[in-house]
Amino acid sequence: MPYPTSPLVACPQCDALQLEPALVPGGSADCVRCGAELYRHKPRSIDRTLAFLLAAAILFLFANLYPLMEMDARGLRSATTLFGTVRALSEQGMPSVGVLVFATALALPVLELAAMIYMLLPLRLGFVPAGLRFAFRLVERVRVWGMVEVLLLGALIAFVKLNDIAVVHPGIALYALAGFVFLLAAADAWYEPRAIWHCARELAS
Amino acid sequence: MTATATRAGLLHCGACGLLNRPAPAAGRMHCARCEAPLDRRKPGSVARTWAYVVAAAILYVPANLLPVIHSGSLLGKNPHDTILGGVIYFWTSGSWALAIIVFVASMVVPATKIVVLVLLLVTSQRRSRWRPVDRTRLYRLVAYIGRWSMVDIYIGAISVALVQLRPFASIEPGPGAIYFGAVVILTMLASESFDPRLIWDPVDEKNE
Repeated sequence: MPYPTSPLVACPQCDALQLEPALVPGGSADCVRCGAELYRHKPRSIDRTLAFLLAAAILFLFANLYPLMEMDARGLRSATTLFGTVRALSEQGMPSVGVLVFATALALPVLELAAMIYMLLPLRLGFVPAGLRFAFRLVERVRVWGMVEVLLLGALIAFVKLNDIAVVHPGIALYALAGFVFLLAAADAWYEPRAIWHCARELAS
Repeated sequence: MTATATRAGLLHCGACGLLNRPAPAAGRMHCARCEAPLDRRKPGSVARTWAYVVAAAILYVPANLLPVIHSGSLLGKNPHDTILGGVIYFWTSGSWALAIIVFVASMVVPATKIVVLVLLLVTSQRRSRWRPVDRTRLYRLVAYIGRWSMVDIYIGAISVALVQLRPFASIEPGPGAIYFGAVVILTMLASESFDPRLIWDPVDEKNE
């Protein structure tokens, strides 16, 4: 099936119909009526998004394999990984909150990352992956529910708070998580659906 | 008079943004580019958003009254285990910046979301044409801020996992955490299901 295009866009927030303006590199188009950002010109979107995603994937591995922080209270030591928080919540009678943390801080961010790489890597290598449309819709649905940046804020606040009880040392995973959050935000900022459809159309023709 | 996709008989794809020209055939249509289901407006938007908002408003009460964590030590029970208690703890221990962050994220944001969504629902049900640009801005604000309320859940999760220094100190999750998590999810579902174009439909119909 061809990928159709249209010189018109409708604002997703107020439905106003308008012509797609040509943008200077880095420029953005806002709705003439309600001011919502319609789209942004992102040169080399696929290359840049993919680079940040791959770097983010590596850091996410570290963010999960190492402890987030370690606590030392006069010889009594404890440490926790990200998944350790999920396990602790479940073991102490709050499996529903454990599932919530698991979904928003681990499973859905991984799913988003994996689906984006699944779309962009093949396009970069010169072919259209099977199920491109499905992966695209998956990313659109999942993206709101991944909250790693909120997790990072929570980890930093917990770090300060728990330092009142005992000495807390930041773990490797805390640094990795901080890097992951920034790389994922960068990938998100360079991500542009138009570039995907444009690339897929070029490759199909 | 502003041209709109609705007036032009076009359907905007909520996933990829493509404008589709609907086929005359009946049945639910799908986007020609990304195959997402196409709807003129989000289906059942007002009823769904009301349901989520009302549920969130009810659960907001136990979320704030019940302890989110139980912290115990040799010195006895800690009184600072509700959300507001945690804010007061940060404030009195000198971390006023953290007190403000937690207060805003955990108490102000969910309450603001509920109030703003009720305002948007009531005005669009009454087909109000009052300040549509500002109401759309309000919608963008609540759609963005909701996720930050989760911060208290994460603070609790890390505290529970890390502070297991029995018998000297331990932190366990409290029942407030379930209600609090539910409030965050429900307010996010509410802003996801509200369709901001409902703000503009009465404006466009007036101009017709």
